[in-house]
Amino acid sequence: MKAIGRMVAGLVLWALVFTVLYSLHGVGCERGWAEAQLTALSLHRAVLLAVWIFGTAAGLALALAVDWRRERMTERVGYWMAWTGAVSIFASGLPVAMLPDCL
Amino acid sequence: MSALRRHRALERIWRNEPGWRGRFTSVNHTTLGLRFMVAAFVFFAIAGLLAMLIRAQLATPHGGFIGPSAYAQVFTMHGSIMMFLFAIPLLEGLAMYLLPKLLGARDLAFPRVSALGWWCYLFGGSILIAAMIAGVAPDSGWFLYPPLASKPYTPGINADVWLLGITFVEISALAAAIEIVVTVLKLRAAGMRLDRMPIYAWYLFATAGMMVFAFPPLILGSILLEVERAFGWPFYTADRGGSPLLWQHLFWLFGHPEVYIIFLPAAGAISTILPVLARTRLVGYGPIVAAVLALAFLSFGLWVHHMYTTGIPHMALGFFSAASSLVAVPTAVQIFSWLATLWQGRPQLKLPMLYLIGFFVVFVPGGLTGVMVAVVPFDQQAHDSAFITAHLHYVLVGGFVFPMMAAAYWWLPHMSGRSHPTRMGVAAFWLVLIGFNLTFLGMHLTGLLGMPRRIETYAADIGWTALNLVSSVGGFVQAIGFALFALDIGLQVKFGRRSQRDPWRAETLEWAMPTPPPPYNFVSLPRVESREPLLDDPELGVRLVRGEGLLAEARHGWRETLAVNIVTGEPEHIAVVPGNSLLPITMAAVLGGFFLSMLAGWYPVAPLFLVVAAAIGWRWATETGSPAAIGKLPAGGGLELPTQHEVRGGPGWWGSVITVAASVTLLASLLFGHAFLWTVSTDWPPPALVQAVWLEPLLVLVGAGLALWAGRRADAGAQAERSHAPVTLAICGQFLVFSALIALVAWRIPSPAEHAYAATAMAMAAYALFHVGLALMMWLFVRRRIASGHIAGERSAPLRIVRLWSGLGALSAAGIALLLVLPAWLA
Repeated sequence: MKAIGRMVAGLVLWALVFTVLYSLHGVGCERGWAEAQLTALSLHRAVLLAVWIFGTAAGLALALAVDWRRERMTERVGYWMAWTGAVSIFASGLPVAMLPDCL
Repeated sequence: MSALRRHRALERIWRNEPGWRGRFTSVNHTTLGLRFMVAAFVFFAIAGLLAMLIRAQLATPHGGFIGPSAYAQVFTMHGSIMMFLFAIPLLEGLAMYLLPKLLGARDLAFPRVSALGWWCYLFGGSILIAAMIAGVAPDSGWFLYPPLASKPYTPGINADVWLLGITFVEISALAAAIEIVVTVLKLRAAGMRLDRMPIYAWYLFATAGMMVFAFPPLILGSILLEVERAFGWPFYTADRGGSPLLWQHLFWLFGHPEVYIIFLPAAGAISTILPVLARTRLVGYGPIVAAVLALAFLSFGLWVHHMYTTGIPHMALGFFSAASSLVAVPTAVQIFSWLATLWQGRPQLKLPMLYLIGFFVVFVPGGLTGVMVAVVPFDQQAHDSAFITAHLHYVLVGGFVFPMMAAAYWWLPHMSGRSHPTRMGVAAFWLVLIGFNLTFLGMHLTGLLGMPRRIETYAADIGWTALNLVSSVGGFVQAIGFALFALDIGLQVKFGRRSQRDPWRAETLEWAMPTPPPPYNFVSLPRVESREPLLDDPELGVRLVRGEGLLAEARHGWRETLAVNIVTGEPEHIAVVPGNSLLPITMAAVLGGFFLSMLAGWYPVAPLFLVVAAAIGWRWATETGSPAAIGKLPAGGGLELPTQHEVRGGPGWWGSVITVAASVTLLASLLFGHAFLWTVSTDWPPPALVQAVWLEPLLVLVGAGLALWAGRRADAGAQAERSHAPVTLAICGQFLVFSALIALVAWRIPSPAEHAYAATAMAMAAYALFHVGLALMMWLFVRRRIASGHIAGERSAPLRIVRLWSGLGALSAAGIALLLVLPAWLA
């Protein structure tokens, strides 16, 4: 089972970051974080940016960590999945940097 | 022993009982798989007839063929049958039939669970069809949105039929999912490492994994809506703290992965058939496995793309739009791998290949319009229009129906033992392809011209007339094609000539057995060294019949198959699967009684059926295990292996792990619902409804702690046979939790009809009560089994399983009790 776990680790991480982003977005809008200013950013956007940047970094770290383990097919799949996870975290979190928070 | 005597000995053990009784007691995967597929095609025919009614109605403006009320039932039933009674059961049936054969096993991991799934599907589907004949079919669309589906707007039983009937059918889907995951993990041929699995097994593994996590949200949503309709608990009623949008979230949390749940098994058939017909190997086995697993994950991040017009903030829509675009990448990886396979090989234009070409022609445009509707501004224009109807049909007919027709022609010689006699399949193909495109290509334009979905009539002067007429003509052309297909299949089964064993020269294990397959599949079980065992050894089938593989001896009347290490595929133990039984049909009938009594509004009677179901479950469990030590048994090839009764990580354990995962997903969906309502409700929780209580939560925590600690001690002491006292303590702990939860429900949670907060609180308490009650019953069962000698020494696997369930009950009860009192404590 560990082999399967390693194969899908990258996308498990994506699922986690995606869930946290969407949840915090909903909670932040409900609690009025978008109105609380932290210097140039709202508290809401700062929190979401932090999650997104941290999540992308974690995804990249995972992808780089599994880079050398590519002898078996399952390990190669794990490697591709880790990169897919990292890219997916980056792409699906992009709206944090581009779109209005709670509009 | 001669091959014939070995065949007769195995046949006696594995065959269905003769006569009518055999129809009710069979648990054999080949029989059940075929039943599922035949029934699915019958439901397909019914839904197809409904589609003809829709097209007849829309053929001309001001259509008067059927009235609006009947029309609403017709389109609702068309979608519901196609999705829940055709697509999913067909893939379940194909998986049930094929999977053990592909993996070199004799049966699925839990044959009685397969049979239970079959009866639940048949009974649940029959409820829906009977309701349609009676004129009380669901009529709120196949996704049954409240408030339209709520009591005030659908006061009859129409929506209840959907909620109860579909939930009943979903039992079969979950059962199949658990069955498939465990079978892929454990019941493979010796030497079949993960990277030697046939590609189809990867597809089915991913699909089943998705089903485990996708179905619980829908089951939860259905239960909540039925409870709202029956008892007035306002989960979806806005003026009492609920939200109809919660249903949309729960439904599409299931509904979008559902598209891939339907697509992936069909794609698996393509990846299996295409290389053989292209006379080459599949290009990119590894990338395809990665793509399939990526789809399995990413498809869960798309559900909101069905809700772009519901007023969700732009940023949240952006998350889902990005994920919706991303999901095209792994789909494209598969498409390009298939094209590369065709390019690399020397394709033969045999009948299944024709249908695969149909897949490419139809599915790719459907995928591309999928990318279009993933983009928020476009979707806001096209939402709920005929464009979406066209898109979804291109995806589902292209991505499922065409590959499944190819699969039917591909595996029919295996199922029937007969070869294909006519050219009618070619005519059927062209009629379906041309008819389909006539129906749905123009429908994109009809949608862009503004025609909404589900309307029963339209005016003559708005420019939709010609397009609708063409769609209707195309629909009937398509129907003739499907009728020809059915006739062709029937002729092959009835009059086809005897087929050779491997007519396509395929290289996977299902072709290494006589056709039609005997009930035990393989006389002896193969050892494999690659992904193409028949390429390595074209005489493998003959050698297996001679008994040169593993587990060749029939003994003790046991149905034996091999269980292997998940990663290496090396043999670990002998799985002894149960034989013919009346328990599955009895259980399904009792569950049917529960659903029917709910449908009839006999609420006091309904729980009695659950009590009977619990008693049957108890009886079910008593038929497992061994009262005495067995030790290692010869398995052939010099191997000696223990039976599953004497190992800790057998199929039963993995089945429980997967079932617990499904249950935790249901709880997570419930917690999501609670949190969602909190974010959309202005007074959540209403201060008047929360009470700062200490005693009951404290008792729950103490009881849960005791149950967890005692469960661990019981499991640890199993080998030394010191489990009796800890088991008693675990029972006490769970009983304390159960009692405290009852007190919490009875005295502390306000009336659930008052506000959605109280309703979700009660739903969470009900979840905890159910699981704690289940754990309590399991511990009592274990206590009896220890006394009867079934659990002792090496035969302690049930303790580990019960500890898992007990842990779920205790932890969920503790978490939920804390969650319920937390707002008051914080206040």
